[in-house]
Amino acid sequence: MISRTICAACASGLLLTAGCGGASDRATPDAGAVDTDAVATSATVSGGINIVEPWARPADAGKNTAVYVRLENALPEGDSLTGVRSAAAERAELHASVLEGEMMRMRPVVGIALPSGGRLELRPMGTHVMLLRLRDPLVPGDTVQITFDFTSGRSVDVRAGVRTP
Amino acid sequence: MRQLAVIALCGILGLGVGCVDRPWHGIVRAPADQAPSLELAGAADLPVTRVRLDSLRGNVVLLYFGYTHCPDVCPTTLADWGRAKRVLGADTTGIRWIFVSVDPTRDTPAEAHGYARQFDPAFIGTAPTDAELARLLVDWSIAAYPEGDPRTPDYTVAHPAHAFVVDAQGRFRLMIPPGVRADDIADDLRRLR
Repeated sequence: MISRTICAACASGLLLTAGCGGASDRATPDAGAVDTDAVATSATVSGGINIVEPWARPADAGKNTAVYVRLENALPEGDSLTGVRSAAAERAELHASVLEGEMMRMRPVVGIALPSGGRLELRPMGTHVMLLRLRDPLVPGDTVQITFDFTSGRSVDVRAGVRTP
Repeated sequence: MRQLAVIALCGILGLGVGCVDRPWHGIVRAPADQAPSLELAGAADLPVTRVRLDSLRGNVVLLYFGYTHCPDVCPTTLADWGRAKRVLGADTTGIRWIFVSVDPTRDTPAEAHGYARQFDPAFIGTAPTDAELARLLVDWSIAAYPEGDPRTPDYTVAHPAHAFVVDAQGRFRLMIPPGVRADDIADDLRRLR
C-alpha cells in the first residue's frame, strides 16, 4: 500500500552513497531520530574521518542490537566504509532496514561510499551497525567499542554510549 | 451512500471545512471491518502472554508483529509506542499494547513478553506456536519469513512494517507505518478511544 521507501532503500545495490544518509539534511525530527539531548556526544577524529554521536540500543546478552553514528569525511579524498568490528558481539555487520511495500526487511550492506566532504548518517529505520549475539547485556550507561574499517586501510575506533532513544 | 448524504448536507449548510475530518496519521482501513481473530495460548506459567483479541473488546488494541532479535525497526517502533504512551499521560486505560513475535523458532512467549516490557511495563509480548503463527498470517493476510539461513542463529525475519490498531468495537481501523511520530500515534489513539 505504501510505496514510500525509507532512506535505507537507497541501497538498491550494494553500494550506498553518502547522500543517501542525508549528506545535506540533519536527521529529521521524527520519532526515530537521535535525541542528542539524552546522550553525551562524542566525536572521534582519525585522519579526517569524524565519527560523531555514536550510540547503541540496550539489549540482552545473546540478542542483537544496533549502533547508530554519523560519519563525516573531512579528507581531500573519498573513502569507503567496508566493515565494522566489535568485541562486544559474535559478529558485527552493516545492515540496512528496508521498507518494501508493507514488509520490513533487512539487507546486508558491504560498502558505503563516503566522498570527500560527504556525511553519512546511520540512524534508526535506516542503515545501521548490527551487533549479532551480544556477549554481555548492554544497559544504559554502558559503552560499547566499535571499529569502522575503510577501503584506504584506515580503521577508526569509537565507544558508543548505550541508551534508550 | 450515507457518506454522500453527509457531504451533500455539508454543502447545503455551507459548513465547509468544519465537515471535513482532520486526517489520521495512520493509514485508515475503509471500510473498517471486524478485525480477524487472534488467539495465542502463550506460556502456561505466564498468563499475561495468553492473548485473545475477542476478550479485549472495549479496549483500543495496538498490535505489532516483530521479533526479539530485531535490532533496529522493532525496538524503534516499541520505543515510539512507549513515547506515545507517555504523551497520553496517566490515562492510558482502555489501550492495550501487544507485541507478537513472528519468530517462534527463537522466541518463547516469556521472552517476547520480557522484550516488550523493556519499553514499557504495561506492554504485553507473546509468541505463537508454529501452528498459531501459520494461522495468524492467514487470518491477518500478512507475511513473515526468515531471511538468511534459518539453521544458523543469525537469520533475520521479514515482518509487517506497520502496527495495527483495533478499536474498542473490535474493528480493524488503522495501520501505523514506521516513522509516524509518537505524538501522532497518541493523537490517533486518543481519537479512537
